[in-house]
Amino acid sequence: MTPAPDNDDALAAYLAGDPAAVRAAAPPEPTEAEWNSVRARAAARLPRRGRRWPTVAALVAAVALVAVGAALWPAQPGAPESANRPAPVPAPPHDPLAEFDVLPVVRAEEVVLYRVPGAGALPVGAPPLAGELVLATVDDVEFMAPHDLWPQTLTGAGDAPMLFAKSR
Amino acid sequence: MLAPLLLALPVWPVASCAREDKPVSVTVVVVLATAANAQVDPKLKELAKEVQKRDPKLTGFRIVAVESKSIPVGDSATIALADKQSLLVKINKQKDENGRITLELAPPQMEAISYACACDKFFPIVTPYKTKDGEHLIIAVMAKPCTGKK
Repeated sequence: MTPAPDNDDALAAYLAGDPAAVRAAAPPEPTEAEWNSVRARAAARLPRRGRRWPTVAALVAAVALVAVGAALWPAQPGAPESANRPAPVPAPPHDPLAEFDVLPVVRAEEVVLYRVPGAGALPVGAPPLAGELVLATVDDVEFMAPHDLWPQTLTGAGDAPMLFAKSR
Repeated sequence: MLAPLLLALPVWPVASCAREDKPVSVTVVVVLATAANAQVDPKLKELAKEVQKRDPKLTGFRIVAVESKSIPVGDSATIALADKQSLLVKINKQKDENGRITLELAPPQMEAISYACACDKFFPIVTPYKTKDGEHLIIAVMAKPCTGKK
């Protein structure tokens, strides 16, 4: 604070650069309460950083919504794009005989039958039993272990061995 | 020290033979015999003659089915007969020096039996099973080494 104009001596000393006069003319330091009041007013005028987040979040959400919508749009049934596409042409039914002009038929010697019903004639193939049953002779068979039924296998000389169990 | 080696020596040839065993082809002829008629399938003439020696009342013989199966030595297979009956066949041994194959059979209503039979010959078994029409179930079993065709 400069000395009052009516204080000539002090003003002259101040203008002359007298340190004591300059110190005496210095304004008093503000109190802590005054500093706090100034800080509060300054802070009130500054823009708050936290207020930006809602705006940024809204922007991000909008972009995400647009991206998801764009991705799902073609998959929607009845979407205008798919409606404009031509209908797919159904594939012709598979013909398993397409490769044959004439159906090839196997020859008898190319088929082996593992089970045939009865003794009836079959159109193709070699039957498991080609001719008459040839029974084993006594010299052809050997019984492994004693068995209650073995005595019934032979009834006389020249007979074919046969296991004959009595009906119950 | 040498005892384990000596014990192991006899095992080697046995295992080697087992690996060389080829499957056996088993043919089972399923026959029903009756006293109600005298019709005999021509293929069963010999069988009918032998069965009639044991039971002259059985005069009609017909083949119900013929089945052929390839069975590895040591394995078994089930063959369907008639009337939902089945036959369990097990091959115990490949053809021996006498040309016989050892089989084990478990026919219906009978205990398991084991026998060795020459290849290409049928061994008949008249089982105690009778159908609801009174026909006797007979099976004839033949075994021979597989030729590789099957």
